[in-house]
Amino acid sequence: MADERSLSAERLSVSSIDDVTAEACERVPSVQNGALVHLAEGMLLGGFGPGGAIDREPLVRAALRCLGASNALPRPSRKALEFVEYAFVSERQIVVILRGTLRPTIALALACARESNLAFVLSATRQALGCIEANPELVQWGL
Amino acid sequence: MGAMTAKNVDWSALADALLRIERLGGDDSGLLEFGAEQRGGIFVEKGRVCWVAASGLGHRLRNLILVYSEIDEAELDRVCEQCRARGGMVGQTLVEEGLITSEELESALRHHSAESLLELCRSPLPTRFRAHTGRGYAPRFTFRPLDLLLDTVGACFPERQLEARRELEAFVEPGTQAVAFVFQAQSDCLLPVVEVGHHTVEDLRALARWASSMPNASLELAAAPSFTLAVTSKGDSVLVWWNAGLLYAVLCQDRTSLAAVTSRHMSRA
Repeated sequence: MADERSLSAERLSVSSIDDVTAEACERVPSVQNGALVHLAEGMLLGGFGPGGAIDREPLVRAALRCLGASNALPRPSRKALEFVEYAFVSERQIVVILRGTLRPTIALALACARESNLAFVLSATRQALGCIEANPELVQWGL
Repeated sequence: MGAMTAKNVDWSALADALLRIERLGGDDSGLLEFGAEQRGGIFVEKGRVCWVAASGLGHRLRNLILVYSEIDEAELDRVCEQCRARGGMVGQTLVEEGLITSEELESALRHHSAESLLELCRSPLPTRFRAHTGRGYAPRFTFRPLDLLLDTVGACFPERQLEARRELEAFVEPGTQAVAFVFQAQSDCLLPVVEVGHHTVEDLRALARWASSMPNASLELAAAPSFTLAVTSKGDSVLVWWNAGLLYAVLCQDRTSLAAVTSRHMSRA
């Protein structure tokens, strides 16, 4: 079993995870760069956009801050709120960070141009993450 | 009536005292005493605050009734004397006799209670709850521990409170829950100053703690967000933003109210 898994991992190079992520995120409006993050390991699985892995570090760290540990809002008089999506809207960018639905240990963090519509960005990112999670290569890699 | 000073107020002790009252049962009445030598206390009737007394501020309620209403001193003295002799309650008697309105009494009581509580929390004092049977205060003239917390913060930061009200009126839809917090640098904490909807002291303490962790993520992105949105899998969401030293948190329970608040933000930015 372990051998099988390592063979699968060999078949799926880092660049192919980059491709899977980039392709899934093509329809996100004005997307500039993105990072697929393994929350449990705190590492970048793949990404796209200008620059390399080092340039995606802020997205990885922000994803870990938001979703790496429990960031629930306790409401003593009501049920606690467990957040799965975050959006940071600044003057120049919209950064969205979403936790996987099928695979809650992964998160997708995308930076988009500020001109984009937040609702469209969120809904397109949900779809993109769904496509990534459904990719059989991720299963092969044990994610 | 100018702003009260927030200097030396132990906000944590103040919130703890109110939390203690909040955790009492709906039938509990008594006095939360401050200090071994009874520096004052919070009078509680059926789980709600009636008023707060602090040594040295005994005549202040009388002054505040004169400020908030049009009653003259002679009339007020007559009612005070009458209540002393018969064991009645001055405030309620004034309202029953039509000498002041219930709104005027409530304003005076809440102002006095806020001032007294601030005085009681300027130095660390032990507290102790002594249960007793209620005196029969009308529920109309009692208030929630959270009301008292908002009043004390508002008494120290009146301009911030006005600013927060204006901001929330501009952003918040009817039926939405929202809170504005003022950042208190001296004790490095967030204090609730305006509430929209219905919360508890404990709710707002948890919300402040959660909302104050949000800047950590934006620091990683090296960007000061005009607002941050957090959404649950069921669609509940919280929108958080800073403006002029105030932190705002709006809880939206459906996508329509969320869309309304975010679009107002986007258009402002």
